[in-house]
This record gives sequence, structure tokens and C-alpha cells, in this order.
Amino acid sequence: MIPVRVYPRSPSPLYSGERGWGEGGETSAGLLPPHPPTLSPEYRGDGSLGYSLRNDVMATSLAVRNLMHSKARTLVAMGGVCFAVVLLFMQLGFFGTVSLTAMLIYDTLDYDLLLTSPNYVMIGGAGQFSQRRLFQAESHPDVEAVMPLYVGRQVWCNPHSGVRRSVVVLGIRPSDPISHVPELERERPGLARPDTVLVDRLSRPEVGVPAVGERNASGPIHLQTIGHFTIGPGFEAGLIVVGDQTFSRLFGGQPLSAVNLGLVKLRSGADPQQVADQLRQSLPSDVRVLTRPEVAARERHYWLTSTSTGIIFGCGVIVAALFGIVITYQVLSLEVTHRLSEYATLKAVGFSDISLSLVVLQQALIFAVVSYLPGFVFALAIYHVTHSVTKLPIGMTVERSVGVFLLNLLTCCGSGLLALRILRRADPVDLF
Amino acid sequence: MAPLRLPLALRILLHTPGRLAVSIAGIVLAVVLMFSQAGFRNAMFDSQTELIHHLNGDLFLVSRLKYLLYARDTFPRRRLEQVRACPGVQAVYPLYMETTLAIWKNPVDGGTRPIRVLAFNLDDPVLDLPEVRAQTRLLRMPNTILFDDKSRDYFGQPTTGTETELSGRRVHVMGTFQLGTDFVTDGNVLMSDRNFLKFFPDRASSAPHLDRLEIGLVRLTPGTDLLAVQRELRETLPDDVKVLTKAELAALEVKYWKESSAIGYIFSLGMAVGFVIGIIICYQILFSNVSNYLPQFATLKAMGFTNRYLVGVVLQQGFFLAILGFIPAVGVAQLLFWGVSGLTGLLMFMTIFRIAFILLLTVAMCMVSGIIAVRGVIKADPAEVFR
Repeated sequence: MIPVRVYPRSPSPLYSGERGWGEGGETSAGLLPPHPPTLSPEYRGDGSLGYSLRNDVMATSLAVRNLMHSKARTLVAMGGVCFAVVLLFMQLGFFGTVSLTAMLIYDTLDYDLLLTSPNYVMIGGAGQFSQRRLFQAESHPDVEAVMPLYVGRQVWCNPHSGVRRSVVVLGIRPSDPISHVPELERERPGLARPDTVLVDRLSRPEVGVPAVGERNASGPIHLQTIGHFTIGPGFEAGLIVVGDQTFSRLFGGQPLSAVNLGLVKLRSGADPQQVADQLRQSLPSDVRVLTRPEVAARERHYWLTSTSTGIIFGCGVIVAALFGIVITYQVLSLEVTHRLSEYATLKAVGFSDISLSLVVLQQALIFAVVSYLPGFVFALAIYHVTHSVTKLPIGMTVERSVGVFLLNLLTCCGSGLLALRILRRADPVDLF
Repeated sequence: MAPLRLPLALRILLHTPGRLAVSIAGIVLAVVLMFSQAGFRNAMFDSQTELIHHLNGDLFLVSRLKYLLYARDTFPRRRLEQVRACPGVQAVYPLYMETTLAIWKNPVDGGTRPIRVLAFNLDDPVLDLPEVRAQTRLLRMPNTILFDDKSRDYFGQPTTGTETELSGRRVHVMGTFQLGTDFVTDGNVLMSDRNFLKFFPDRASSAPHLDRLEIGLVRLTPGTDLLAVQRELRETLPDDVKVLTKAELAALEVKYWKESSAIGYIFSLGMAVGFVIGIIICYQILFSNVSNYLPQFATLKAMGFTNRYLVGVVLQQGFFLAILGFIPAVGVAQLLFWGVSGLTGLLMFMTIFRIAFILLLTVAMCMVSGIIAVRGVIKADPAEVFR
């Protein structure tokens, strides 16, 4: 066995790389380790004689050295990939906010089945149905309680600045345990007093959340704030909860016999799906019965496919993903083509295509991981700022972080290998 | 062969067409990104103010409390009649609007959705849309409407002759027009004030009436000083109404969406991040493109060309790359805009100003990054380059 020694053409890049181009020079030096590897000939499957890098450690160190060789270039390239990651995270965050916003109120309500009007579009445009349907539903043996929910939009006058904004008003029977929100449950009985209101403290600043005891004008009457809660108004300016009698007065004496939504609580052990089917059969078609998962699916579907907001953010995600893939491909393929002649040299001295692919793959892997991390942190910062300014529900999810990571990894490795194809097809001699 | 009379920068770029294509593709993408993020934000402002731009008035009366076109804030019609008497006023037209009680029934699947209804006196040319002008007389019959073609698909895409229900009453679609949707309005219906009265009687009063309106349009006799009339109206009218020019009315709407809505903030943030990333990508592409030719630049320097000359070549290279990438990018962005506006009915278009702004940004960034990349050659001793 004759060991083949490969000597670098110039001093190790480890010493010159830091100074970058113009001083160090970009020669094949960057590709080769300072201590030349010892290669042994081996027989390949196809019968030809070739050489391969004996272990992965060497390939890794070669990949690292490639990246470390011209630090400025690597940094700029990684910056490109990193920003592609940031952009995708940002757009996905916005898109995710739309579906989170859709469920903000429903997630806090305590119900098993929801009765809606057939005209129901979304919570702010729920349509009406007769209270009688609620009573009919209550007669089902598995139903423990029914609670009417009134929803409307009314003008709200900021008590401090006088600015007016339209807010979402939820009207509840003060005796109904309507939600999972402890503060709301604690303050709820107080709504039995006429003209009292609980205000969402996440309402936009223009709404001017009043302190307890303060009064302000809303629609035709004056309301007194008796407490606060935290749900979030989503894309609306504000959210308030009032008692049903106050709700009626707030909307010019609207009769309480026409409800907007009906919350149905089932006895423990009852199967919501089964009861829903039975109620659908027994109730007339002027009311719809939905289970919790059905409500979630409908709301998400409405917000993501039927509102301009959802569609625009969906398009944003597509643009960001395409952008990310192309930019990453561009960066990685430039990384490879840039050193094509060095790879050709390696190939000429007998390295196999597989071992070269391995070097490129490892380089891509390092690229993917190193560019993902700052991108991830950057995205968290964007989420944080967006949340603190808009109070919208926006945050990182495990699925999203894993998904973007995998996409990034896949694009990086794919692009690297795609670029290396040129080398595989080429005769090493041609490359000089 | 006679040498091509092309600038050196262009010849450098054309020398490796593959690399040039990759660089251009990157710039196209960065530019499309900037266009799309800016486009989404502009789509909001443009769509929200679209109706205002089509209103055929010089001055507008709205309730003192009005902060958003969509939010209902009416004022007494008496105010508009008072304006009629002012010198310089040619005509006044009331516009009525209903956004919450108007429920449209999809004629195909029977689903119901809220829609925006605009109503006016048929003798008044309230909207400057030719299709509306041509079809106004069709609305004289009871229960007749014109339907906005650009409304969202889920209204069932009614055409002339379609019969369906609006807020529980039968309506006949007499024709269509094009106005468009926005972030709160999914579709539009036009009808006469007589029909409006029948469809949406005032709940608070026993006798149906048209005493309160949403927007009052004021037409001035040609040659009148707009601002003088506005001042005079402000002085004469009680302060339950605002007198605004068209630009002020549009600005009121934009102000709400820009400053008081979560979505406006998100679009602004998206645009800012999109621009930063777009510019960084331009930088990255130019940087790697120019670095590829560093040995050649070093050779030129060694031959005695001045730094100024080299910088000139790199600047040109950046300029050409920016332009070559920008032109197809405008095309791609336009395709994207058509796609999104087809899906949503939102207005998405480019203006010379918007295109010029992004072009300027791209060219500047490409040129600057070229200079940064070539700095090494300028500083270095040519001999070192060939080590």
C-alpha cells in the first residue's frame, strides 16, 4: 500500500483567512487541511481503483476549513440565508396570528356545543336566532345548561381623549359561568347592576381602558367600568363584556329573545358529537349546531380563506418561502461553484464523488444550522415587538420552528448537491 | 473579430452568462420581495380609499365624529340642504350606506354574508363610474340593484338577471359595475334611495325617512375657490359636521388604518423588514458577483489602471446588474399583484413613484455593495493578489 501525500500549494488558510481576501488570496489552499491526509487506494464497486476520505472527521474538518477560509464571504452568505429564515418566520407568524385571532374569544368560552344562526359568518357578524331554540336544546337529557351570548359592535368613547372607536360587545347573563378566564368569572356577577362593563385591558390605546369606577359614553348610554379582563380584541379596536340588560339598552332596546350565539354545556360523560347529531335532528333548520372542533375549523377556514387579511398573509408566506428557497440555493451554489476548481483538483487526485458530496453536505449542514440560529432569535424579537405594539397573539410554535429548520436544512443540502452536479459531470481536466 | 463596443463592466458580466443569470435571479427576487411587501401595504390604503376617489364631489360633509368610512356615523340631511344655499355651490348629493344590516344571500348555495349597500338619489351623479352612470335608470324599479363584479366569489357571482335576497327581501340584479373590496368590505351593492328606505328603515323611528345620511357630496361651480368655500362652510355650519376636501377625507381613512389598526402596523413592519432583507440580498449578490472578478481587477490595477477607473467599472457593474434584475422583477411583481387582486378583489397596482423608489433603492444598494467588495483590490498591493 503506497500512501499518497497531498501538499497544499500555499500556507494554511487558518493563518491567512482572518484577513480575508486581498491579503490571504483565494487559492486551493482553503480547501486542504494543514496536515495532508493520508489516502489509501481502494477498490470501488465498479471495479475501478479510487481513493476515498477514510473517515468523516476529516471531511468535517475540511468543510469547516472551507467555511473559515474566507470569513467575510461566509458571513455575508450566511447573512443571506439567515434573513431568508427571518422573513419566512415573520410571514408565518403573521399568518398564524390570523388563525389565533379567529379563536381568541372562543378559546376562552366554556361550552361543549355552539348554537348559531345559519347566517353566522364570524363572531362579529353572528346573525340572530330565536331564544326558543336554546330552550329546546336545554330539554335534551344530556344538556346541563344553555347560555345565550349576545354579540354586537358599538361605538365606544375614550373617557380620557374623547376619541371614538367601534368595539366588540359581548352580552352575557350575569349568572352564567360563561368562560375559563378567572378574572371574568370573578367580576361577572357585578354585571347584574345596570350600565356596568368589564373592559379588555388589551384593547387598543385609542379605546383608553378606563379605571374601575370611571364612566364613559358608549352608543346611546353611559357605562361604568367595574373591572378588567385579558382576552385580546384581535384585529378589532376593543372588546367589552356587559350584562344582557345593559346589552339591550346599549343597542336601543334590542329584544333579548333574539340571541346571537348559544353556548351549550353537556353533562359530564356525554359525547358532544352524538348530542350534536341528535340536536341537529330535533331542531329546525333556522339554527346550526357545532361542536368545539367544528367551530375552530369554521373560524380558521373563514379567516384564512375568506378575509383579505388571511389571503394576503397567505400570499406573504408563499412569497417568503419561494424567496428563501431561491436565495439559499443561490448562496449555497455560489459557495460550491466558487471552489469548483479545488474540488476538481481533489477529484483529479482520486477523491471519489461520494466523499466530495459528503464535504459539501457537511458544509451545507453547518450553513443551515449556523444561519438558522440567529434567524430564530431575530424572529423572536420581531414577534415580541409585534405583540407589544399590536397586542395580537403572535409567538413561536414548536411546529413552526421545526418546520422552518427542516426546510432550511433541506434547501441548503439540496442546493449544495445540485451545484456539485456540475463537477460530477465534468472531466477534471476541463475544469482548469 | 472586432471587439464589441460594450463597456468593460457589461463585458465582464456577459463573460460568465451562467453566473450572471444566477445573480440576476437573486436581484429579481429581492426586488419582488420589496414590491410585494410594499404592495400589500399599499393595497390596504388604496382599497380603503377607493370609494372616496370615485365620489363625484369637491367637498364632503361627514359627521363630526366620523373616523372610518365603514363605521356608521350619520348626520342630519338638513346640513346638506343648508350648504345648497351657499354661493359657489353647484349641487349637493346625499350618499346613504348600510354595512351591518345588509345581508346578501348567495343565489347558488343559499349562504348569507354581510355586504355594503350604497344608495343615492338616481338624479344625482354620485359615483364617477361610467358603468354606473349608464345603468342608473335601471334602478328606478322597486327591488333593483347593481352588483359589484369585484365582490368576493362567495356572494355567488351574480350577473344581470340574477334574482336573490338582500336582508330577507327579493332583489333583481339589473347590471354590474366595478368598485372593489377592502379589508372590511367584501362586496358592494348599489340601489336607489327609495329602495334603500324600504330595505333599511330606521329602527329608531316609526315613520321611515331618509333624514340621516352617511356622506354629503358638494359640487362647486367651476372656477370657485375650493378652500374659500370650505372655510365659509365651516363657519356657517354647526359643528356636528366636518367639511373635508377629497384629499382630507382620504387622509382620514388612511390615518385610521395606518395608526389605529393592528393590521396596518403589521403591514408596515412587513414592509420595513422586506426592504431591509431585499437590500441585504442585493448587497450579498453584488458582493459575491464582484468578488469573483477580483483577480481580473487586480490585473488591471497591476497594468496601471487607476483606482478611480476600477471603482467606475464596479459602479457600472452594480448599475447594470440592478437594472437587469429590476426589469423582469417589475414583471414578476405585476403578475403577483394580479394574482392577489384576483383572489381578494383588493386594489393592487404600481405607480411611477413606487417603482422609482424601489429602483433607486436597488441601484444604490448594488452600487454601494460593489464598492465594498472591490475595496480589497483598491487597498491591496497588486502583487499580493497573485500570491
